[in-house]
Amino acid sequence: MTPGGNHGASAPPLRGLLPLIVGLLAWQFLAPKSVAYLPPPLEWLKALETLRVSGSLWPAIFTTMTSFAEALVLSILIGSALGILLGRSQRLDRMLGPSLEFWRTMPAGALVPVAVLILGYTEQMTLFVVTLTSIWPILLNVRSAARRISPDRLDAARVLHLSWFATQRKILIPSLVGAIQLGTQIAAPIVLIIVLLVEILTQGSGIGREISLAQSTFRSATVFGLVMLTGILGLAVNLLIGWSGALLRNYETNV
Amino acid sequence: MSVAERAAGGGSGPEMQSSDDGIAFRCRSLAVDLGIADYKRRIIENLDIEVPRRQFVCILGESGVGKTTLLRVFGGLVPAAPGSRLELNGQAISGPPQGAVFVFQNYAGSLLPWRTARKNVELGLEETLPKAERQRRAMVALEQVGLADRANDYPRQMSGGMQQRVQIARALALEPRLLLMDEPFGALDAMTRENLQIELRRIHQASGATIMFITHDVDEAVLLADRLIVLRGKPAAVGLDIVSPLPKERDQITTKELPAFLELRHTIYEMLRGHGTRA
Ligand SMILES: Nc1ncnc2c1ncn2[C@@H]1O[C@H](COP(=O)(O)OP(=O)(O)OP(=O)(O)O)[C@@H](O)[C@H]1O
Ligand SMILES: [Mg+2]
Repeated sequence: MTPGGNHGASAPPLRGLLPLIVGLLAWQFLAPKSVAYLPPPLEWLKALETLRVSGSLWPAIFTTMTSFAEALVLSILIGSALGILLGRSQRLDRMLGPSLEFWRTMPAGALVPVAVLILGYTEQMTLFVVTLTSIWPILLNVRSAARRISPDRLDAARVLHLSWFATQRKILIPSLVGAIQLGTQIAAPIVLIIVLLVEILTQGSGIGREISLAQSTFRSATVFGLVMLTGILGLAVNLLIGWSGALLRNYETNV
Repeated sequence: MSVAERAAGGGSGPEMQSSDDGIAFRCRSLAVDLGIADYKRRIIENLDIEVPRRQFVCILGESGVGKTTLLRVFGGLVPAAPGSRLELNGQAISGPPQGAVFVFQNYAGSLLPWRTARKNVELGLEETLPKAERQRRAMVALEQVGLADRANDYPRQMSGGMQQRVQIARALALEPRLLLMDEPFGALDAMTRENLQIELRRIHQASGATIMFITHDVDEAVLLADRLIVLRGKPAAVGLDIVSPLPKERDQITTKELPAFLELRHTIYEMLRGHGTRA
């Protein structure tokens, strides 16, 4: 997208959004107004305003972001835990490795019908599909970091008579914080994408449902507006993750 | 060998009572296998050592002979093969024993990079001591290795030799009864090394800890040791076991001028070199 945009590890400079804004302005003022399915950006904002007045904009944003946050937290927790288990136990790794590969290559779109059959059009179904597809960057990063922990570091813990709990808290987890953070940075945009995908596919709730509805009734300005909104949310998510990375580095120096 | 085992134990004062015969360490027909399943290799076989309390033992031997492996067995980090007998203070060793601390050859891997020097030294004290007390102990230990002014630096801000000294301080802070040190001074410059040798010897005399010390440096071994053990063979066993005739008080200059020092040094060199040409 834009240089220094949403891939930066720490807070990306917003200045990098300039080309995008210039592009939108050019569209607004230079593009022909007559093409119905390519409305200019100001129309998008009006469409969003209409949606807000009708009372369905904020609840949609809220639902999507709640699903996003819940799925991300689940992915971090389950991904880290599984990553540690597999990284620290060769036996488990050999036992579960092939089935993990199977799940890893499963596309989210293919999972949705199955999940709907089992769980119905529910919040849990969304969480299940999203977590299952976005857990991998975290799991794989943590697994390889857990494998690479210096054996001397763990021997030191044994020789200094650290309890099991203290060893996890003071040695293992801090050794993996970097990998968890990196995995989360990669996973967060995926989580957002899959949440929207599930919402669009199931027309259940959230921004995805609004996009799907608007598209099926040919309200193209609303579709564009919602897509732009999604982009802004994605940007906000990345800023937040970069910022939490700084917090984590601060935690690291305190264990 | 049995002559050697007796000595130095007598000087350790009135240690009595039944279970407590003044022997800290005892291993009989010790064997150690490393590797897994088909790749198992016998590294040490039929090794007998008895170490009296308070003895400063230096272990020598060519690279790869099994010195680190032996020390790891003593530290409870590697199990001995079935049939071996291995005791510390009359109790079989089945894990890292209380009161024993290990100083690793690989200091970089064993320090925590997200902790300052002082916090690294405190690591082993956090579960047992209140904050003020463990900070005091950590500072004393850092003082002993000459790093009191670097207490708030992170390992990455320190040279290799300084990091190794932090690791030594971490061990000293626990005031161990048994100190297992794997080439602790290998990464140090000559000057720091000579200072720390004397300091370690002083700490040993003052604390009464038993020390097992691996080194490649014959002069260092002869200067520090109450007793010298040379490992040799494949699998390794005790090739030479000598009690040092040098007086307890050691000094970088005067001790190294003693005829007994030169004689002992000669014997060890012969043993190490003899291994190279004959076997
Ligand atoms: N995990 C392992 N599996 C199999 N063999 C091993 C393993 N670790 C070490 N060895 C072998 O055991 C032998 C002894 O290794 P050790 O590290 O004890 O030697 P060392 O005397 O400490 O050498 P150095 O002076 O170079 O540190 C070596 O030949 C080494 O190849
Ligand atoms: Mg070694």
